[in-house]
Amino acid sequence: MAKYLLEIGVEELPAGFVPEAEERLRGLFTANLKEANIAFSQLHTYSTPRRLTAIVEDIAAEQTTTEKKVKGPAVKSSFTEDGKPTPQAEGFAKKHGLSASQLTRETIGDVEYLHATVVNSGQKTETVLPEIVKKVISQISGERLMRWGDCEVKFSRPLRWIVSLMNDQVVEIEVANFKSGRVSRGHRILHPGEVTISDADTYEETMKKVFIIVDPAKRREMIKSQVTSRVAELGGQSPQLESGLLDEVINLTEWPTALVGQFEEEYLSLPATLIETIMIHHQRYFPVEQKNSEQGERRLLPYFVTITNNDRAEAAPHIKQGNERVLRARLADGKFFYFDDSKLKLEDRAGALGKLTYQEGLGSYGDKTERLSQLAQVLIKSMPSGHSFTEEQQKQLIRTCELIKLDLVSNLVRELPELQGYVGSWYAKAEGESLNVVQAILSHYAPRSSTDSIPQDQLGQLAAVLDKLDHVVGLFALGKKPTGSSDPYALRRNGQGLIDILIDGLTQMPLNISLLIGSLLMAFEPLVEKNGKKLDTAATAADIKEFLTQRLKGKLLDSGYNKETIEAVLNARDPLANISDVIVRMNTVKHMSSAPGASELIRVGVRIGNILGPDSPDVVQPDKLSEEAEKALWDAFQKNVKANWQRSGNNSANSFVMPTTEAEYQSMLDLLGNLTPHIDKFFVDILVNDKDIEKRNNRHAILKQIDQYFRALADFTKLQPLIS
Amino acid sequence: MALTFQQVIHTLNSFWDSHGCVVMQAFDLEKGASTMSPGTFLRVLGPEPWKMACADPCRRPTDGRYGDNPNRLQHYFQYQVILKPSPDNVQEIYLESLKQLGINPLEHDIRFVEDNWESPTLGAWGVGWEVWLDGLEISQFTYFQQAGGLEVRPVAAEITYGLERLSMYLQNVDSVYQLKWNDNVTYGELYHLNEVQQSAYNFEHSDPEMLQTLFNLAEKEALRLLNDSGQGKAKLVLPAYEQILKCSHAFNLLDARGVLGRDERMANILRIRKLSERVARGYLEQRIELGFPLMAEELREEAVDSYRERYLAVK
Repeated sequence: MAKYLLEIGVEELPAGFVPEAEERLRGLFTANLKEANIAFSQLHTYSTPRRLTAIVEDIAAEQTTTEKKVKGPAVKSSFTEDGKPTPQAEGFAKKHGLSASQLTRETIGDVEYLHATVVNSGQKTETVLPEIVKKVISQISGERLMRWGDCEVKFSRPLRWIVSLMNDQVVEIEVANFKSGRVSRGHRILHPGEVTISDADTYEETMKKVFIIVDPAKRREMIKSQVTSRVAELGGQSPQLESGLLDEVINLTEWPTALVGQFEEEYLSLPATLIETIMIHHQRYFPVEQKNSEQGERRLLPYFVTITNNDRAEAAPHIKQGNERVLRARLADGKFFYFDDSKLKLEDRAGALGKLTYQEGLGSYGDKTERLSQLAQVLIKSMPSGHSFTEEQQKQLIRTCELIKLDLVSNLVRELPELQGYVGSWYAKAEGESLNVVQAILSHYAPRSSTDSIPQDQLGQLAAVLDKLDHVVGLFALGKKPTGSSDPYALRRNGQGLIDILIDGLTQMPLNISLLIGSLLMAFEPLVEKNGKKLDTAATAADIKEFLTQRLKGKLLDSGYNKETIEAVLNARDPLANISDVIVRMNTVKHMSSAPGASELIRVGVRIGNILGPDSPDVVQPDKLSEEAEKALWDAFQKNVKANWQRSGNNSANSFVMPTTEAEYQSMLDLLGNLTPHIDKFFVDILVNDKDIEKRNNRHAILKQIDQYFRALADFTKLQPLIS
Repeated sequence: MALTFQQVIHTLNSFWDSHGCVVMQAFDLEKGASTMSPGTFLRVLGPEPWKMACADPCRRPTDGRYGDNPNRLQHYFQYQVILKPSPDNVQEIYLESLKQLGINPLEHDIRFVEDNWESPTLGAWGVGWEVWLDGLEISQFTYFQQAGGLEVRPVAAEITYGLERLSMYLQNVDSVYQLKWNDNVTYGELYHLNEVQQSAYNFEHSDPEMLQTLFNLAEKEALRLLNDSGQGKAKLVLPAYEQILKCSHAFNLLDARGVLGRDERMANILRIRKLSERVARGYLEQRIELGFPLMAEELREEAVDSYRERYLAVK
C-alpha cells in the first residue's frame, strides 16, 4: 500500500499558530480525502515553525467508484410521437456521458422522469491530489493572512516549498510561484541548504539528520526532560514547565537545546513575580524556583534556562553571554522602576490617577476609584441583618477600593502592564496595609487568563464584583453595549466573570446587584449628560439586568440545573436582587422535582399560575364565599398554610415574609402539599371564571393568595414540561 | 576587531549596494521611525519595484532617559532596507548581511519570532518578526501589506536594524554611550549631552501650548496644500507630507509632556492618519501620471492603464 507525504514549507509561523495550523491541516486534509472518496487507513501530522507535515498511510491508488442517480426531464416530454428521444433528452444523456438508451425511468410523486446513473469510475489519486492539497492550503487560513512578493496566494507567512511524495514518486503540485518536489530544507543555521527526501517512509529520520525534529510531541519531551535535569542540577524546580510558556517554546525551535544562564544575586531582592514576568514575557526563559518554596513566598535561584535552536558547543558561550546580557539590562530596568516607584507612597499617586483616562466619557481612574468607594458604602448598607459586615470588613473593603487602581500610574506597570495588581500589592504590603487588602489588590484582576480561577479571597471577590459591575454599567450607560460578535470593551468577559464570582465564590452572601446597578447609574447620569446626551436610567438598568441574567442562565445551565428549573426560579422575581437566594431556590426546586409526589404539587402550581392574570385581585371576602369547595379551600389554606407559616415564625401579622434557607422553603412546600386535595376539589367543583364578577374575583383572590406561596419559590408555570 | 559604529553603517551600505539597493542619505525631518521617511512610506506604493537602504535618525521623545539608561535613547539610528517585491530568499539575504558584520550564525542562536507591525498614524500594517540574536532583538522584519490605507502590491519587505543594539553586541559593551563611533570618538561623546538636554526639554521644558499651536498650523498647512489643487495645479503632496511629519513630531512631544488624555490622543492620531491617507493616494496618482518610470518598459503601459482605471477614473 502507498504512503503519501506532504510537507508545506513556510517561513517562521507565529509560535501560537503552529498547533492550530497543524490541527487544521489534519482536519481539512482528512475531510477532503473522504469527500473525494480516497480511502486511507490513517492520517497523522507534524509541525515545526517552518513546516506543516501530513502523512497519509495506506492511501488508495484511486478513488472509490461511486454511483449517483441524476434526475432528468419528465418522460412524458422526452420522446417524440414516434418514440424517439427529444433533443432535450439527448442533451441530458450527453451531459452525463451516456446515450439516451442508457437512461432509466423512475417515478417521483406521480410523474415519471428520466434518470442518468452517473458512475464516477474513480480517477487515479495522483490526478486528484493536487486540487485537494491546494484547497487544503487555502483553507488553513489563520488570524492574519498576508501576501508576499508578487504572489496571489495568502497564508500566515510566505510559503516557500512543498514536498509531495507518493512513496518515492513526486506528485506534482503547483502552489504560489513554485512546484512541489522531493526537496525540503534543513535547519536554518545548522543545515542551511536543501535536503532530498527519497521516500515518504524515511521522512522523519531524514529530517532528523538535518537537525529537524518534526514531531512537536518529541520536542516537548526533549525540552521537558532537558529543563528538568538542568534545573535539578541547580537544585531547583521549574513550575513553568506546566504553563503556556512550554507550548510556545516548542514552536520557536526545530532542534531544541536547553542552556543555563545566570544573573546577579542582587536582583533576587526583587519580587519573584517581577523577575519571572521579565524572563517569561520578554525572553521566554524558564525561571528556576527554589525547591520547597511556598506559594505566596516563592524564592527564585539566580539562574534561567533558555531553549536555543543551536546545540553546537562552540555557540554555547556566545548564546549564554548574549542572553545573560539582555536579561541583566532588563532586570536593571525592572529594579530601577521598582525602587524608584517605591519612593512615592501609593496614596500619593491619587493625583496622577486622576489624570489617567479610564474611558472616554466616564472620566479618569481617579473618578472610578471614588465611585468604587461609594459603591462599597452602598453595598455595606444594603446587607440584610444577619449578614452585615463587621466593622473590620467594612474598613477593609473601602480601603481596597481606594488603593485598587493606584499602581496603574507606577512606572513598573507602564513598562509591564501584566503586572497590574501585583505592583499595587507589593507596595501596599511594604506600606503596612492589612494582608487582606494586600491580597485583594492582587486578586481582584482574577481570572487573568482562561486557565486562571476567580479570586480565592472574599475581599478580592467583592472588589472584583464592584470593579466589573462599574465597568459594565458605565459602558451600557454610554450606549456601548456589545453587538453581535463585536465586544470591544470586553463586557461579556466582565459580565461572565462577575456572575462566576457570585455563583462560585459569594454564594453565601445575599448581594443585591440590582440595587448597585441603580446606584451606579445615578453616578453615571451626570457624566453622560455632561456630554449632551440623555440617560434613560430605567431602560438602561433593564438592559444591564437582561444582559447579566443571560449570563446567569448560562452559568446555571453549565452547573447542571435544567432549563425549566432555571426559568422558573429566575422568572419568579428579580434574580439579581439576591443571588444567594437564587441558588437556595434552585436547589429547593431541584430536590422537590425529584421527590416522590412532586408531579402532584407541580401540576397544582402550574394550574393556579395559568389561571391567574395580572389583574387578579388578592383580597378575599370570606362572607361572599358560597360554594362548599371554595369555603373548604379557603378554610384549609387559613388553618393549615397561613397559620402554620406564621407559627413557624416566618410571618408577621399580615405581610408575607420570604423563606431564606432551603429547609424553610421545603417546609413551605410541605404546607402547600397538604393543600393539594382541597385545590383539586376546588377546580373540579367550581367554575373559577364565573359570569358573576364578584364571585370570579373572590375565587381569583383565594388562588392569588395561595400562589404567593408558590411564587415565593418559583414561577411554577415554567415547570410544566417536567410533568408532561 | 569588532566594527565601529560607522563601520557597521559602511558595511551595511556596501552590502545592500551589492544587492542593487539605492543607498539613500538620511531624510532630514524628525520622525519616530524610518518607515515614515518618503523613501519607505511613499515608495512602497503602487506597482513599481524599489530597493532602498539608508541609515536614518529617528526620534521618540517619550523614550528619553536623560542619558541615564544604557539602552534607551530619544534620538537613535535605524538602518532601513526596503525590498519590493520581497525576494523569495529575503531571510537568507538578511542572514548573509549579518555574516558581513562578523556574526557567524553557526556560533549564535538566531530566531525569527512573530511580531506584527501596525502604524495607526500611517494607516499601515504588515506582518513579520523580530529577529533575535542570542536573545537580543536586533532587527524588525516586516512584509508590508498596507500603507496609507492602500494595499501594497507587490508586497515590500522592510528590514530595520537597530544599529545601536547591534553595535553594542558586536563591540561587547553594556552601554550605548561606550560604543566606538570610530576609533577615537564614542557614541557618548557625540550624543550623551544631547540625550540629557533633549530629555529635559521633552519632559519638562517644552511649551505644550506652543506645541499644540505648531500641530494645528502644520495640520492646517497640510490640508491647504492637499485641498489647493485647482485647475492646472499639481497637488503638492510632498510638501504636504512634510507638514504631516511635523504634526506627528509635535504630537509625540505633547505626548511626552503627558498632557494628552486618551481621547485626545486617539483623536489626534486619527487626524494625522486621514492626512497620511490623502497623501498616499495623491502620491500614487502622480506616479500613475508619470507612467511608473521605475517599471520595466514593457510592463508600464498595462500597469498604468489598470491603475488609471482604479485610481483616476472615479473622480
